[in-house]
Amino acid sequence: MKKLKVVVLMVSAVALVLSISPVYAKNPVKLILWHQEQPPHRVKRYQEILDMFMKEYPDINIVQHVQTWGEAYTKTMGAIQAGKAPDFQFTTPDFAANIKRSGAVQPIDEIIQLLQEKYHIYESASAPYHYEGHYWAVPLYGMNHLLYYRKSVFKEGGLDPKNPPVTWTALLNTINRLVAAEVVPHGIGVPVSKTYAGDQFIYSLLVTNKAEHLFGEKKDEIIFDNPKTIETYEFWKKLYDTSPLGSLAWQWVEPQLALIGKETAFGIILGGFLGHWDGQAEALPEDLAAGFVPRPEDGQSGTVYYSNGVMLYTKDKAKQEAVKTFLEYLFQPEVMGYFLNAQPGLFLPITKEASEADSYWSDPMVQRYADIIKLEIEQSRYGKLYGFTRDEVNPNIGRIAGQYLLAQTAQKMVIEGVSAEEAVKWAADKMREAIR
Amino acid sequence: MIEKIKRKVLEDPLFGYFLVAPIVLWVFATLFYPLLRAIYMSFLNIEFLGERGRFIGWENYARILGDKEFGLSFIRTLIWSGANVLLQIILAFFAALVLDLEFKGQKFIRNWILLPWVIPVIVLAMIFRWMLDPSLGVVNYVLEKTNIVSSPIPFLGSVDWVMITAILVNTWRWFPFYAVMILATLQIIPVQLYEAAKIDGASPFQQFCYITLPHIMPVLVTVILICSLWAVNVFDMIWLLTRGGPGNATQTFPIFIYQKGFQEYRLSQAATAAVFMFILLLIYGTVYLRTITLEEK
Repeated sequence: MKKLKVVVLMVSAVALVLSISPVYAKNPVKLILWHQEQPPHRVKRYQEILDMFMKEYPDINIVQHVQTWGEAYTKTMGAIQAGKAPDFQFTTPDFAANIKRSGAVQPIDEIIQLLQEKYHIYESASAPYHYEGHYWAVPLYGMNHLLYYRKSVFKEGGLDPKNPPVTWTALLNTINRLVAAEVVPHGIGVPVSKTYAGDQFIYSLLVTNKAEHLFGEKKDEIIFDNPKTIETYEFWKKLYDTSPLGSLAWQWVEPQLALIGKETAFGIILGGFLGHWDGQAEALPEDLAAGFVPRPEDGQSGTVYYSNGVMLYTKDKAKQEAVKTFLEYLFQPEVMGYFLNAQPGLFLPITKEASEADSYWSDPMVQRYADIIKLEIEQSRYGKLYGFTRDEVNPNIGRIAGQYLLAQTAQKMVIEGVSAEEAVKWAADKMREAIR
Repeated sequence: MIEKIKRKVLEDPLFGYFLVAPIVLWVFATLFYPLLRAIYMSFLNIEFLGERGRFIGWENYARILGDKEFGLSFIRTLIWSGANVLLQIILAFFAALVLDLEFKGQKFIRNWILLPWVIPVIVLAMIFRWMLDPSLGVVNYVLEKTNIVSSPIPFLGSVDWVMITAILVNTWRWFPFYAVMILATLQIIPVQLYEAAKIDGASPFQQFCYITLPHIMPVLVTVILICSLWAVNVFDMIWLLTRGGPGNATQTFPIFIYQKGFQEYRLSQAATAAVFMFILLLIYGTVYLRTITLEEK
């Protein structure tokens, strides 16, 4: 008996020593990060950042797993149900709202607070993740629209390339002038497919016409069918009439190629366009110019603005702490600048500090399009995202975004020839049905 | 002794069950379980993935049957699959007949005809999206340059054109596969039959009707069945080309189900539509095979 006691004591002592020994402490905290940024250059840049971080923090090990946006929802929900969710994952506001229904997303207030104490995070970036009294994701980068055009086309049409149209009326007048002078065959590339491309084009116009709210003060009150929205769709139709044939099927790339190929005078496009423009034989960096998305005379500056963020699933305190450490590292302006240039021009800084970082502005492509990117950053401060413009968020917003109802409304006008009023009423009814 | 044991084991019916058990389990896990699960889900009110749902009886069935879009997607599915089967089988049939002839380059064509079927569908869809673009695509360029059309055709951007365009692209992808199946049967028809028919004075048309056709009929029946079932189930090509649009012009059953489940987030309703689709295909397959069997008898 005595012998047994001695053995038990010895084993316990060894276990205790091992548990507090440096050997144990060196076992790194392992984190799994899921993201949906598939292009190889983005994956490569993320890995560089992770390697830099892990070198500085050898006790934390992060592995990135790449998903596609197409399968992100099913995979994530499947993983959550199987108890195999990643520790943290990149997200968009509507994706976060959808996944949050599972109960797996952890509030991230402490991390946001910590970061807000150190950096000036743009309100437009963090607001879409704040509802029900908590932050549900930390914004990482933003994306928004600008009105792009060619300086050479303006010159050819006898216009001043430094003065892009600021108002809706001016935009239509400029288009008419350039098309009439046969400088370009079409006015503006309008994507109308049932995709985010179609939705976002219209939403930028809605924001500029102060019709950014889908919901009223109450989160279950749809106010989409209002005169401002109808007016916006009427203007949208005027733009659509100047768009090349086949725009009904256009997604992201077609409006960009139409502008590059001088098929159109304008494009209201996300900053990723710079990557497509850059390096094209017929597209010189110095020929590209941009302005804010035009607004009505009584409108406001604005654009659709998507802040992509990172949300947390792990409930493990040590892992949560490790994620916090990683985000603190990532938010350092120079690191963030390098991170954002995983896709120069598309991923915009969401902190004032990152927007001033040398690492951000030293990227050759960012330097070539510095003026345009400055405009993008400026514009992003007026950005909005549909369904996330109030303090409260309807948990069914994913249904409205998922059905691309903004684009569907436009398609209804074109395909069925119904008035803007009828189409908007139809969409509002669909939205009410979606949130019921 | 060993031979005796061997024979005993091989003759034991349990050994047969043992051999087929893995595939039975596999079929159950990948076919029957999802099917039973879908039927079960169709009686619940699950909306988002991960929800447990509550039993609501036949409510989803009533709702789906009352959904105008479901009815329209049914009609579109009929048009889509009918046209696909017709075009694919006719093209495959003639391609097989041509490839059965002796001519220069026959081997080369036989080898390469499967190319459209081998290319990943995403690549095909992207290529066609660009080729068919009204402003930038080569198809409209050629049509305009040769004065076949006076203005470009929005093949994928017009409700009038999109369905026929998608059908043609899908046909182009699939007909070589069926052509090879028919060709394989043509190759095993004994040459002596044709020689004897020639001696008896049969014309090429008579040879075709009385020798070729009866021989390839069994494979043709199978090919038509496979082709129609696969055509109904096509999701990837339509989705990548048109996403079911413009409007809902190319929204067939699979697209409808996907949109219900993963865009509108009404999983139980999507499961209900899938059950409907399964029942319709089951009825079609059974009736088709029964008719053919009766005709053969």
